[in-house]
Amino acid sequence: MPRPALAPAVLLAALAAAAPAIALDVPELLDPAAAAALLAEAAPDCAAGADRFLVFDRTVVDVEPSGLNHRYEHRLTKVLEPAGALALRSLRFDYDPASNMVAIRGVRVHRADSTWVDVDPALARDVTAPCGGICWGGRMKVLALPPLEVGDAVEVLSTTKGFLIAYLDDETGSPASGAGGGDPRATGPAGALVPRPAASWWSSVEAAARDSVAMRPAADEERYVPPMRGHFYDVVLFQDDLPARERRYTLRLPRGRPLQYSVYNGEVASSLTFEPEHFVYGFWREDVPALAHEPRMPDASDVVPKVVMATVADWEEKSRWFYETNEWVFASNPEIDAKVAEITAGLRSDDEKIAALTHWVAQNIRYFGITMGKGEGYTIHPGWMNFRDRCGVCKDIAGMLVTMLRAAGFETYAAMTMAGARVERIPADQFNHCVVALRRENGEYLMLDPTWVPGMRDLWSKYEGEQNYVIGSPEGEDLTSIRPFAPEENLLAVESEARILANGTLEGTLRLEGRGVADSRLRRAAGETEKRDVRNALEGWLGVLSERVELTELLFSDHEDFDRDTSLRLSYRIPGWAEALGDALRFRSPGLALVADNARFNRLALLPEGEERERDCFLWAGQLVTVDETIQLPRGWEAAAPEDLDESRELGHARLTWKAQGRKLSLAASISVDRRLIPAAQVPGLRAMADTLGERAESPLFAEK
Amino acid sequence: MMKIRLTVLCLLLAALAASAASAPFARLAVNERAVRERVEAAPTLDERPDLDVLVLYEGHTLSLRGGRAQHRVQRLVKLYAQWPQDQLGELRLHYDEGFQTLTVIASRTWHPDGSFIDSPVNAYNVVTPRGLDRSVDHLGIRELVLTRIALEPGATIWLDYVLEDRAPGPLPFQARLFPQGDWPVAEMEIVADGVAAEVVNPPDGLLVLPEPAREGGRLVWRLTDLPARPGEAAGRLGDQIPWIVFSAAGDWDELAGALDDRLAAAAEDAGELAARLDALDAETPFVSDREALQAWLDLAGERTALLRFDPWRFTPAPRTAARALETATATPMERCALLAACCNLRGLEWQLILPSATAALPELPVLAALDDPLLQVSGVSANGGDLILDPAAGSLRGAERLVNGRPYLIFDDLGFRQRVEPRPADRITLRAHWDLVAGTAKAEGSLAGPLAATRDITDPEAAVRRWAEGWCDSAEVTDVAIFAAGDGLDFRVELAAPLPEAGERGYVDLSLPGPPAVDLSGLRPAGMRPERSHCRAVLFRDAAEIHLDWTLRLPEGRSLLTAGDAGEGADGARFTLAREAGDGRLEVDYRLEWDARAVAPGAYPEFRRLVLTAFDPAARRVVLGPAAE
Repeated sequence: MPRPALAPAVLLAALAAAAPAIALDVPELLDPAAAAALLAEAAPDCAAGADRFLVFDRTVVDVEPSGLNHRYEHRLTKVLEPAGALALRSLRFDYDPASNMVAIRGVRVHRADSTWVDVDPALARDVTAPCGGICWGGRMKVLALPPLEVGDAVEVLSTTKGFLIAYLDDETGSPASGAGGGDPRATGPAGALVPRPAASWWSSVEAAARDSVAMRPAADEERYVPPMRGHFYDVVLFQDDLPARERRYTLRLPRGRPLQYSVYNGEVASSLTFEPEHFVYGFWREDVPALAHEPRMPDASDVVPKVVMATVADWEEKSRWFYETNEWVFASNPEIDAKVAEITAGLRSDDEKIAALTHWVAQNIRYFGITMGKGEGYTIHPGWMNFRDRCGVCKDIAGMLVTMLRAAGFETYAAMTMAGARVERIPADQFNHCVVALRRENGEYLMLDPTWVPGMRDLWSKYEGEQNYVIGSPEGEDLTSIRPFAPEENLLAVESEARILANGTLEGTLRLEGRGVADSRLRRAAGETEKRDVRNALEGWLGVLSERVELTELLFSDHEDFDRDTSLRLSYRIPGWAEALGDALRFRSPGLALVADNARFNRLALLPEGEERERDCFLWAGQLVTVDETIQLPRGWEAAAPEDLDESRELGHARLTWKAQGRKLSLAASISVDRRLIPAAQVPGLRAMADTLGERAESPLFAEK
Repeated sequence: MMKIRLTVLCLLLAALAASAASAPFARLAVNERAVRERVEAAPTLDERPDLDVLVLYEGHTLSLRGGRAQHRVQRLVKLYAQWPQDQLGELRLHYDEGFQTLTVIASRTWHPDGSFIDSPVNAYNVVTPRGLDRSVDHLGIRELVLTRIALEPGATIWLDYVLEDRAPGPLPFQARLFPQGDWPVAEMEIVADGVAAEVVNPPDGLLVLPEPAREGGRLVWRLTDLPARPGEAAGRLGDQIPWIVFSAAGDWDELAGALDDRLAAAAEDAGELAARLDALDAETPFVSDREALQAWLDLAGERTALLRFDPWRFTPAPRTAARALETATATPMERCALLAACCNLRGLEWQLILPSATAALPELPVLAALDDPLLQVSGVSANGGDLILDPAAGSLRGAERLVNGRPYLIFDDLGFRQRVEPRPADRITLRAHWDLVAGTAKAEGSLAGPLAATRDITDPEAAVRRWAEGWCDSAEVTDVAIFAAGDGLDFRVELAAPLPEAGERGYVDLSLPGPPAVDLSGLRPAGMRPERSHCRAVLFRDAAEIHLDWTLRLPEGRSLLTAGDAGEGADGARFTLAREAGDGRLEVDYRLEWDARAVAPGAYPEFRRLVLTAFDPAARRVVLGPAAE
């Protein structure tokens, strides 16, 4: 038998707590009969194979003149498999008491037999949320649901008010993360900030409107007003990991605050209707399949249909706001001045000083976020605080460098950027990262990223090519972009000298020199490993040649010397490397075997397998690898040169040139993947080239008597 | 809690010595002056370029009064490199706010110049532990994330905290401590006050902890110059490095009995479980008890998300089976309760089994020494024997494969007793005959271990077929016979196995097959991977004998190009490879045995060389020369 719905008085009280000052058609729980009819419909084709699907996911956002916004979410999820029921065992609602609130307005479980159960939102536990790399006092409400069965559905009504700083961590499952070898965050600082859709993060202030009475919210709601007062922006993704019959987003804005928006990555239906005091924008998609993840696909925001919207006029306005909001934090103090003087002592050129200060910050301000209270998330910690704490998130690390560079006499600003995804032209906040811009005397900017260059010679990581950014300056700056980096800028040069002994043992020396991302790969092996383990770790690198490899000598350049690229010299021996087969000696090229299919050294090897691909492939950086090798054969054997390889594609090449001369076999190899983003159509071709290279590395070489 | 802690922090930092005298904490082992002296006397960065981190002092005082435990920790750590800042920057301490209080007395960073700064208020964050965030019944378990600021090479971190019970815990107090950690320790003091303690020195460990001194009724260890623990190796940490057990439970029977009682009580309230079992029965009438048990395990897995939060593996106060189902969450112990409730409902007898996580259990009982709890269900196997349910893993197995040679606790007439059933060495034998002229082959063999490989063989015939079909291209099985399955596998197979096609230059490469379902090189323990080659602890947990014997009838006109015999010996391991050719045949005899469980540092390179030579695929490769013109 159906149980009675939540007592009206309780519901009204909950609504009153969450209701805005203005009238709005606030969504309500479905009539049970209507819900039963809805749930009786067959699951859409797009839900095939899923453990649950969204019957609908509707969001209504109502924006007050102050910019304070009320978000009403209404979601109905139907369970298709037991795993779907388990996934819905409880509901979690995150919020940050400093800037927003969340109210659970109603939760109803619709049973497969058309009965229903209401779950009392007051039973939700309100506790601090887990924290990974950022502890800013986030909280969560957790509400347990009754056991669910296949065919049941969960209807949830919730309201949020204010804005939320969300951040990327391991649990977000970024498609770029977790596939070792290619993701710079796998070895660099993790936890870059990302704006959560519909959050107002780093929004700007419209000074002229500041005093408008209409923009003044109730005093107790002041903390919910977005930093960019009077404005609104959002980035709404219309596809995620759950299939949906309907995804709908409705935005209600005061008429005096027009919205500019654009749709990207596909189609989203839209409408605009007029109300006496408001414009109402609607966006929706129907029968949306779950996002199919492909290895190394770009960030979801670059591939799923999305609407980017903002009321801000242009990026220059955003830039000025960012400058004005944070300008006060860059003041130095005597301790910082003294440290700057110490770091730059004896350095003559500006470039030397800039490099020294950038590396000092990168190495000494570790990545971890503790809150400074009011303004946390969109305001940079003051320089004195960063210098004292020696920790912070990207904005604080950038702020430390701005402070120190200014103390050293350089005109420097903080800048917003988006690591790993595009920023569209619509001036909605789409940033997840904060960096530094230094204005040269000729007016040009030099971009610096101390968060991404620990253990890296560069001052701007080569993982961040073609990245969009906006500098916060008093004049206001437009959205611009880092130049693409050439593969040569990430060169890994391998010199290999190898000698095969009469008993088949290989003795050799490999000299590796890295530039750009290759420099950091090598440098971090020494700088971010226990000293007692460095030798073993490097012996492990040679394990791709043979498990029987023995590292006999190791020479490593100083990993703290950022004036030159890292070099590494490894001497080794491998028993049984060559086999004497009658009149032939069979062996392989150690230099080629080291790099050919090894993502540690060769970014071409990161290309995923598979002949067909829907999404582009995101490698973060292109790279050139060269191998210059000589293999000396035992007395009595004569080298034979195998066939050369010369394969070129539009975005890469693989060339092997062999030369045999008496007992010597020489190899000159050049392997390149030219860009960080490979269009889907070109991935199979490049992968095939990588496979050919791998086959060549595995193919035996022969010498004859 | 936060307020109490912060109050204590602020007040006590102002007058640390005075507060220590008045606070109800265990006696300070090291006071502020002693801390300063140690900071000043620590080796400089130039003096110890080999170090990343040095623990200058670590003190543990565990005391028990009226059933309430208190654990005070003091730790003074100096940084000698930049990168460990991330490792040391945050400390995550867990406690149950229902009955425990965590108080940080000091969190201080000494700058290289001798001045210091205390962690500010915003460096203390009490959060929900990851993994428990969606379990409403466990949100009382809290995590203090304590950030140490101002870290840099040459800085020294001082930490002083107390975790104490406000009321006696649900089970008698017990704890485990590993004195060796990631970093070397200059000086360590461990004090047990009012609680029994025991040292466990693993038989194959590289370090032996001394017995404690008795000082006024307290047990005290004073240790100096402890090396960092060895790197990764096979087996559990407790098999490799020494540990100390503190326990107020008299013996294992008392602790296990208490757990058993709680489990029985938790299983009593089954809630809607009966209806679910009825529905299962109606859906699929079970042919055997084994099928029913597997269905219950599946039900538990489908209906409850497993909570894997280490300190709460045993859930001292497990919730009822009904509540676990209601919240769709369960700890391993609560999964046990769910399965026990199923047994109760169907009239099956069950017993709690507590397997040891290490090769030997200490005399003193401590939950941390145990692995996930198991249930033994009596008289349900095909031959009327017992079956073992592993509720956490969702697996079902025969009692004969209970705990892989580790001790376990099981109830008998006298109470919970420890049983040890030593496992014989893993034995792998294979006798294969490959007629390369006729293109046929036959093989027979036996796998008695390793358990890690054999326990996953759910379909022995399919496993043997799959293996045989991998002998060479176009291999086709013509007959398979399985003589024994379960703990091991005895088999015979016949197949068509034509001579592989010649490769470049006419050579034919034959890779002689290893045993089915076992990748020989996969037997190499994790600690012997090249990147872990510093490992010098327990390398192989079980002795093994591998004997592979191949006979090949060679095609005419092709020369045999493979090299001759090989043989190596090392401390506790032997490898021989004998090849004998003649009369158109090749006999290859491969024998590898090891009995060493730990290898001394000096003997390790030789041992590693032997094992890697034996596991090198080249050892099983035969090359035939090009066909004669």
